[in-house]
Amino acid sequence: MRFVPPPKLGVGFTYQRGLPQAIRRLVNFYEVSPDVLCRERVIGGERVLSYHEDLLDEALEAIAGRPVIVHGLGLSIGSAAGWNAGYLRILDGLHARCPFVWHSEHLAFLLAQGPDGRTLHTGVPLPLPFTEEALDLLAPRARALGERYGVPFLLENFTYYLPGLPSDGGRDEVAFLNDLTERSGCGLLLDLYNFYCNAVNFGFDPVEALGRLKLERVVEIHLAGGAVHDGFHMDVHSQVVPEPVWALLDWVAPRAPNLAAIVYEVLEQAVPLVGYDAVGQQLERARAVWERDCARVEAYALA
Amino acid sequence: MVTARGVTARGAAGAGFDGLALTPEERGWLEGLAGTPGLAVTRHIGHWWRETKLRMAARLTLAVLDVDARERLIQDYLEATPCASLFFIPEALGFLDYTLLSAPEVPHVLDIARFERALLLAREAAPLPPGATPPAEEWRPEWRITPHPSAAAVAFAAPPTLLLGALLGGGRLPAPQPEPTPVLIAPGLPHLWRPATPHEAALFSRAQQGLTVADLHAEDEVLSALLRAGALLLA
Repeated sequence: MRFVPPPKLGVGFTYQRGLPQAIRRLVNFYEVSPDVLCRERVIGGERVLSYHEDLLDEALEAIAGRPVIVHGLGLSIGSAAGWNAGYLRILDGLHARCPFVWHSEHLAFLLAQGPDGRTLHTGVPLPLPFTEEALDLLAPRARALGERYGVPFLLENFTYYLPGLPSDGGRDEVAFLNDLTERSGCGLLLDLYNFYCNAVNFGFDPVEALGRLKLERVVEIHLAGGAVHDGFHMDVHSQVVPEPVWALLDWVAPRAPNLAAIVYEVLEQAVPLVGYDAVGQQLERARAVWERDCARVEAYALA
Repeated sequence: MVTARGVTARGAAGAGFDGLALTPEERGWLEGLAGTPGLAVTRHIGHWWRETKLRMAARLTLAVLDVDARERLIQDYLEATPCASLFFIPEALGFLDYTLLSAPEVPHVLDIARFERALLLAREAAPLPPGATPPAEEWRPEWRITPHPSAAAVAFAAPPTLLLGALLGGGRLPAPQPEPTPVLIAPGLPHLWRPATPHEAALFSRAQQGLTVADLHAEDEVLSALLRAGALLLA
């Protein structure tokens, strides 16, 4: 599948219930996680996801009139035994009612099959090794997800904490992302906070690493802030964006010609702590970068 | 896939990776993870997120316990029970089942755990279809009376309004009383619960054993009330 850059959307925010007008007026689009509108039951050993119809109706009403992109949590694209088909069923349901401009998932896995055939849940997304075996598993899946809805599919780089992930061919995370986007035709959701966490936790230079990334595949950027635990920077979406991450955005934005969206992520449960004033400031700062750098890239591309 | 296989091995055996098709390098990597700060923080995040979910979705039961008992029960549960889902309700149901099995010797805790479990199930139930409760004159003797799968009757050792009011308001819990108070939880009730009459509790209990309309003894009004509440179904 050939990578086709999607239309440029601007600055967005995660859909949450009850977003005040002061925030709504600052966003060009919404990013929706279908999982948060769902319930899950385990029936006869099978996971069954279904929408809370009232939550879905409320969400569709709230986001009407703005472009929508999808950011999934539960696909488990990297599971060796197969992805979570229940997630795709709810994504089909959302697409039928609200066509999205693109959709994305985390480059990780949540489900594994036990020796007795039962599905085990990791509880927290776990990383994939940077190997040919992983590429062979992921690339056809990513390609199929792009074809399924006829819109781009993006994979998000992911914060991990396990040391020395297996690799072959001398691949590190950046080389793996480059190979994956090339072989699958998918785009990249570059989470700069995740990238920053990995750089701090594993001691690499984020700018040098970003310099090796195929930035023409970056369609969307996530910004977030988190916490530090036992010396590890953790991706928990509980804070404003730290300055080093803004600096990475300043570096990437003018160099990513297909960048189409910047999203600030904060957990719904953390919004009362962060405060809507601070959320608004993050969105305004992201917009300033967008207007400074992405408008210029657009003009350059059109010239 | 080495990480996926590693998860499988931990879930299956708790230790070791024997029997898995791993290269020596993969085996060495997995064995080398034990004791690393990276594995510890990965486990911490998983526990933190599970704990956050059950603290939000099992508030009533946790509110019955004092701080020490609450923290001990949560940590015991997290250690004893593997994660089953990313979602709040399955995590809370798992915790409430664990609480009922471990049966802490604290007044009211088991009653409230049963109540909260039933509330979660009733909240997740599909809405009752229109016309689900036929009027009494249409009932036929052979119709079976069964409990709604998401309904329950539990008994409180104190008046429910006093007990729940104290839990929600952070007040002193009422002392257990000799006579239990039945409470009905069903998907058709406003707020999903109300106090039940002893007759309603008795009929609900009999329906769990198997009952037909012909078995009723001048209980039409009680059955009508339970049908309207969505606690019982006719088939």
